[in-house]
Amino acid sequence: METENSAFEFLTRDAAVKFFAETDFVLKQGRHIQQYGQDAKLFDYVYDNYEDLAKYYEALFAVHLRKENNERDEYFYLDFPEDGHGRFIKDRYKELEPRHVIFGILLLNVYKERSFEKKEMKWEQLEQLFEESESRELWQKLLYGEVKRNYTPNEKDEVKRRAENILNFFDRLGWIEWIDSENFHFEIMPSIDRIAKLYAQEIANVDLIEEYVQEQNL
Amino acid sequence: MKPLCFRTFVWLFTYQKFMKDALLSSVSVHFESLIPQNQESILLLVALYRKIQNNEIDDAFTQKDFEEAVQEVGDALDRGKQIQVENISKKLSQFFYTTIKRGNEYKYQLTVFATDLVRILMQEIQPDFKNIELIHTFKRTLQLLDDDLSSIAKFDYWYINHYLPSKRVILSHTENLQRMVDDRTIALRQLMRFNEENTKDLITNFIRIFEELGRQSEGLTQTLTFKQNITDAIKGAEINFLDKKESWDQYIRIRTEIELFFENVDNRMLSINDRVQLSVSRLKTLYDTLQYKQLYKLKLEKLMLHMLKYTTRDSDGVYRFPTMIKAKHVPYHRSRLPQIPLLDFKNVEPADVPDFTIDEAYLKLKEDQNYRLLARQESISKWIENINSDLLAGKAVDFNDWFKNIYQKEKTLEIPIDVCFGLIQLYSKSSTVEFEIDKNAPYHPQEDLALWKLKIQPSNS
Repeated sequence: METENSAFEFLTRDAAVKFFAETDFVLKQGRHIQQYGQDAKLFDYVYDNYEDLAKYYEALFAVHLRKENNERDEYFYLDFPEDGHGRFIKDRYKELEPRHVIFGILLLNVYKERSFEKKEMKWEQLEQLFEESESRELWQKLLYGEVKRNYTPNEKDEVKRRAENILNFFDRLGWIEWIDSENFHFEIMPSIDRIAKLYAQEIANVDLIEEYVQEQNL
Repeated sequence: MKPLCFRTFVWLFTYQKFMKDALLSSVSVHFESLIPQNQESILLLVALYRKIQNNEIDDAFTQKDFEEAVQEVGDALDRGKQIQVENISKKLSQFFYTTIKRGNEYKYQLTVFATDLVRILMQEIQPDFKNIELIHTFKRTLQLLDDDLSSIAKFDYWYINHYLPSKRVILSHTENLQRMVDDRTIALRQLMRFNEENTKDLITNFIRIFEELGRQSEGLTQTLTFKQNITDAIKGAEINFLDKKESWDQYIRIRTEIELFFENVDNRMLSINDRVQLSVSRLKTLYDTLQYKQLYKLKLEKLMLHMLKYTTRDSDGVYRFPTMIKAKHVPYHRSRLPQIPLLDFKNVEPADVPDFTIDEAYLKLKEDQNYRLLARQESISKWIENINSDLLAGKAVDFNDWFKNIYQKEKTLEIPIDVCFGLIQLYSKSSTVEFEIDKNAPYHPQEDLALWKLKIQPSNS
C-alpha cells in the first residue's frame, strides 16, 4: 500500500517540529506518556494530534497508538497487534519477566487501594508488604528463594537491589516516577494500569485459571 | 358607607406617611442601641442567655456574673486586649437588659427583646430540628382534630393558636432542611471528586450522608401526606360553616390562607425532594463504582497470589510463570551511546615512562632453557626414529631394553618416558603394529617409579 504524503501533513506543523521527535523516541522506547512532569508537554502534543499520530504508527510501524485512562487520568502508549510486533523486531521489544508482572500488579493494587490518597511509596512500605502481609511466605519464596525466620543484611540488600532494578525499568516505562531514588521514594503513576490492560484476560478469568491449576494438581 | 371627603383623605394620607416616617425615624435614632454594633455585644448576650438556660446563673444575675461572662467572651475572641466592662454594659443597657433591685443589690435581667434576638440567632446557627424530620414539626404543631372544625370559633382558635405559630416553625424548618440538603449535596459533590485524603473518612461520610438524606426523603413523603390530610379535612368541613355569611367568609379566608401556605411549602418540599433524589442517584453511582472497584481489586489480588504461588525459579535463577499465564511484550529500545572522554590536548601532562633496561642474566637463562628444550626434543625424535626403523624392518621392539638404554645415555627419565608416549601416539591407532604390556615384575628405574614391560611388534611377525 502506498502511503500518501498528505496523510502525514501533521508532521509539517510547528508543534511537530517542537515535539514529534521526542514523542516518537519515548513512545518507541516503551514509555507511557501522561499528564505529568516533563511528559506533560508531550502528552498535550499527543492529545491534540492523536488521530494523525495513530495513523502514522499504524501505517509505518504496524503498531497501535493507544489512549487509555485510569479513573480520569489518561495515558498514551504504543501497543502491538495481537499477532506480532509490527516493525518492532529483534531488540526493539521486551518480554515482561514474571518479577516485572508480579511487581506491577502489586503496585497497581496499591494504587487502587489508595483511591483517595497519595500514591507515594517508600522501601519500608514495600518491605512491610513482603514481610507482614498474608502472603508474606509466597513473597519471601519468590524474592529470597526460601522462607526463613530471618534474612541476613546481605540478602536483604540483594532483594532491595533487585526491586530497585525493577522500579528503574518501570520508571523508563513511565509506570512510576522516582521522587528520591537515593532514598527509594517513588510515586506510582496512573499508567501502572497498563499492566491490567496487558493481563485483562487473565484478570477476568482468574477463577477459571485457579480451578484449572487445581484440577491439574489433583 | 359615607365617602371620605378630600380633606379627611389628605389628613389620613399625611398621618400614615407621618407614622411610617416616624417609625423609620425612630429606628434610625435608636439604631446603634437597638442592633448590637460589635461582636462582643452579640457574643455577650449569647453567653448570658446560655448561662441562664443552663442554670449556671439566675434570671436576675449579678454584676459579678456579668463580668465573668464578659471575661469568657474576651477569652473566646482571643484578641489580646480586655473588653471594657463599663462600655459594653452602657451599650446594652438601653434595650437588652433591665436593672432591678433585689434587697440591697442591683441585678441585671435580659429583656424579652434580648432573649428573642438570641433565640433567633441560635435557631439560625444551630437549628433544633437539624436531625428532626419535617413530619415531626408538622405533627407537633399543626395537629387538626375533628372538633377544631366543628364551629367557626373553634376553627378560628386553631388558626390563631396552632396554625399561625406553627407556620413560622414550619417555614423555618423547611429553610433549614433546604440548607442542610444543600450542604450535603455540596459534601457529596466533593466526595465524588475523589480528593478525600482518607478512605475511611470517605466511607463514614458516605454512610452518614446516605442515612440523613434517606431519613429526610422519607420524612418529606410523610409530610406531603399529612399536609394533604389537613387540606382534605378543612375542605370536607365546609358544610359546618354554611349557616352564617360571616362564618363562611372567615372559613374561606382561613382556608385560602392555609392553601396558599401549603402551596408555598409544597414548592419548597419539591425543590428539596429534587435535590435529595439527585443526591441519592449520585450516591448510588458512587456506591456502584466502589462495589465494582472492590470486585476488580479482589480479582487483581487473586491473580497476584496465583502468580506468586506458581511462579518458579530455575537453576539459573530465572523466574518462570505457570503455564496458563503467557508472557507479554512491550516496545522497548534502549540505545547506549559510549561516551568519549573529554580530553584537553592543550594541557596534557606526559606520563612518566621509565627507561628500558635489558636484564642480560635473565636473557641468558631463558636462552639456555630453550636450548635444553630443543636438545631434549631432538633426542626424543632421534630415539623414536631409531625404534621406528627397527619396527619398519620387521623387528619386534622390547621397549624395556630401549628404556634402560635411553635412560643410561640421556641420564634423565623424561626422555625415555616421552619416547614411550611418542610411540604410543604414533602407533596406537595403527593396525600394522601391536602393543604387548606385561604388568608382572615392573621395572623400577627409581624408587618412586615403576614401569610395566612394553613390547611393540609388527602385526605380521
